[in-house]
Amino acid sequence: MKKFYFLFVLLCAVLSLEAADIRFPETEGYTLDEKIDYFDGASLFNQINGAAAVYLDYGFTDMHHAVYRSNENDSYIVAEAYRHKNPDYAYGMYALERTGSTRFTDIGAQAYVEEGVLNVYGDVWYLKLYSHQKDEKTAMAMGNIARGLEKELFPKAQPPEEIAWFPEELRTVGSELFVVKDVLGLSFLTEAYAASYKNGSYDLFLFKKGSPAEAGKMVADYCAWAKTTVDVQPGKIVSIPDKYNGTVHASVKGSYVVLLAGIENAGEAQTIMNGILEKIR
Amino acid sequence: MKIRRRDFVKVLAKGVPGALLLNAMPSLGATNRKTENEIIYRTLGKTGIRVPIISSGIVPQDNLRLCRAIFRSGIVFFDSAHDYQNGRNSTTIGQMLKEFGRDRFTIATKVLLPTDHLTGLYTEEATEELFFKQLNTELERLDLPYVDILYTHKPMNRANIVNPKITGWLQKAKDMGKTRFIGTSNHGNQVECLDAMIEAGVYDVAYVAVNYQQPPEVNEAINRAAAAGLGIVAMKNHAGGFLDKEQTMPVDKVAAVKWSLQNPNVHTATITFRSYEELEQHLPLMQDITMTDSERKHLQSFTHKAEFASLFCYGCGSCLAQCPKRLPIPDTMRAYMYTYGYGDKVKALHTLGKLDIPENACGDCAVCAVKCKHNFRVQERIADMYRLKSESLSYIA
Repeated sequence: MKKFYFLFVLLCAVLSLEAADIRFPETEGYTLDEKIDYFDGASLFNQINGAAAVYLDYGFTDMHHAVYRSNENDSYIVAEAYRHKNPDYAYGMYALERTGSTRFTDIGAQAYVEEGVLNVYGDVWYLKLYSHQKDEKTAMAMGNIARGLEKELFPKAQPPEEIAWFPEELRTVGSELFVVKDVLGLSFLTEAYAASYKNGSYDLFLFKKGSPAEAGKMVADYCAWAKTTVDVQPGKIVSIPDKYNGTVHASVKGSYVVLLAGIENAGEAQTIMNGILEKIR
Repeated sequence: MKIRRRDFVKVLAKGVPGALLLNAMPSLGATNRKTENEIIYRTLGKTGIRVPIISSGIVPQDNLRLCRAIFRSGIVFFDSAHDYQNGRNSTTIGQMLKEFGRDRFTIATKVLLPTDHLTGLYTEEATEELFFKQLNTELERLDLPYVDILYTHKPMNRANIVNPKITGWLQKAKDMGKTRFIGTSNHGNQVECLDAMIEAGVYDVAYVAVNYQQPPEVNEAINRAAAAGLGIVAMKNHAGGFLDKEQTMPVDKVAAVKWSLQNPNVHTATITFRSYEELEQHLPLMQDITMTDSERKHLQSFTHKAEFASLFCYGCGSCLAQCPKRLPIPDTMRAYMYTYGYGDKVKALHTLGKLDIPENACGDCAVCAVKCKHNFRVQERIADMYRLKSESLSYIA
């Protein structure tokens, strides 16, 4: 009896895995495969191999994989909906895969197209659509599918507001990220918005902490790791001698911490950091 | 000359001129034989490429400073793939090669051709056009005229690996000068894949999962492949990063990599470095992979070793002739492993879906005639899988 109960639970698990909890929209000229594949954290590796580790770092929870087959020829469109644990993590994964030479399009909170590719970010979702067919008709069908999913999953999604606080001047196109761990390659620095400037010659990071006290503690801990003592005061910029990253400048404003790496001169650092500090609300 | 920690930090630190470790590399023209003895090099099989035993997996595209530190550290072998981070991994490697020069580095990448979810075989969409489209895109991203090694990405079974269409395209890429050597990259089914690579006779390098959780048969297959001249590159050395199923016991990653490299036929191990700390921990292994007793003991505490080993069917096929009903035993055992070993019931049902297992298949045999050399209780497992398949079908109906 116990064994049958186990099998019943097993079957329920199978069925719950099989049943997609999102509805992929229809699109003209294509037929959606009945079978929607589903991957969770344990099985993602079977689908995307080595890339799975990075998705798991970025709070991946599950993914639905659908295939649309052309009614006219043997081409197809793959639509994958990756769900992450929160909007920042979904944005981070989307942004990490976004290339510099992007053509943005008006779907979700942000989206871009490349040849045979349409990637969309919205709320906790990262949608990836791709096809080996590069023609206009396929691109339109991909857009229709993405808009259908947008309507269902994230009709009013916006990008993280913090991204807009990064100064635009000299910012490298497509360099805006949300880094979940090992910020600046340091394991104790986690969860930061980031952008690169002057083709990667310097980088700005913005950490959102739980309170001003936590923000101050983060800088104090960084200083302690660097074996330096500085007086961390709100609004004041301090310089941390980081043995790996050179001089890193830090400042606290409210619950936020701003770090700047790649600029040695304190005066220049101050000018750059003011560009983001004055926008923090 | 051992690498001292403070020298390491200097090397990694931004703005330090030159690279202490790179200068110490014999392949880069250094003549100091004493130094040559310090770094452990192994030769990638018949390719003749000599590489340090530590190499790089996916690079941290979100941290170019750390990327530069990795390129500066003495690591010379970098692995990428067409589908890694939508191509950004290769673009970043390309950017680094511009900064650090091409000649000193060995670059590998992969093309991923579509396979059928049910059969695992390449589909009709796996075309020559797609193969070369991906390869050419990778060369553009890396900004290189050729890569050193081109793998097919996770073919995962014998049929795909010996497929003459695929080996023909790989050979053509080699003949066109787009790659120097060819191979396959497989994260599972290692024994079958390695033996198939030997059988095909055209491959140069195997990129395989190697770790302390695997049964000895995987290392035996690696030894056969190396004896046949294949270079062996190890991935998944950390085996998921935990010793237990519940993921409460993190593995000592350095010990895990050392374990993989104890087999001299594992020529280099790729590590994905996310932090300076990880780089700093792993880099000394380039000079010393001696395992301590405590490291061995730590890895032996891997709690589900016996369970895993008892689930893993190697597909030797010796059971097939023994079964009077000619049941598809290896495939059924694989479905059993998916169910109870990987917790992947969907994949198990996919596998079972294409198998013809009659009702009461073993009913006529009071005693099972199959003597599995790994002591699987074949009759019992077939009954379990039949029940799983039939009940799931009736439930769905």
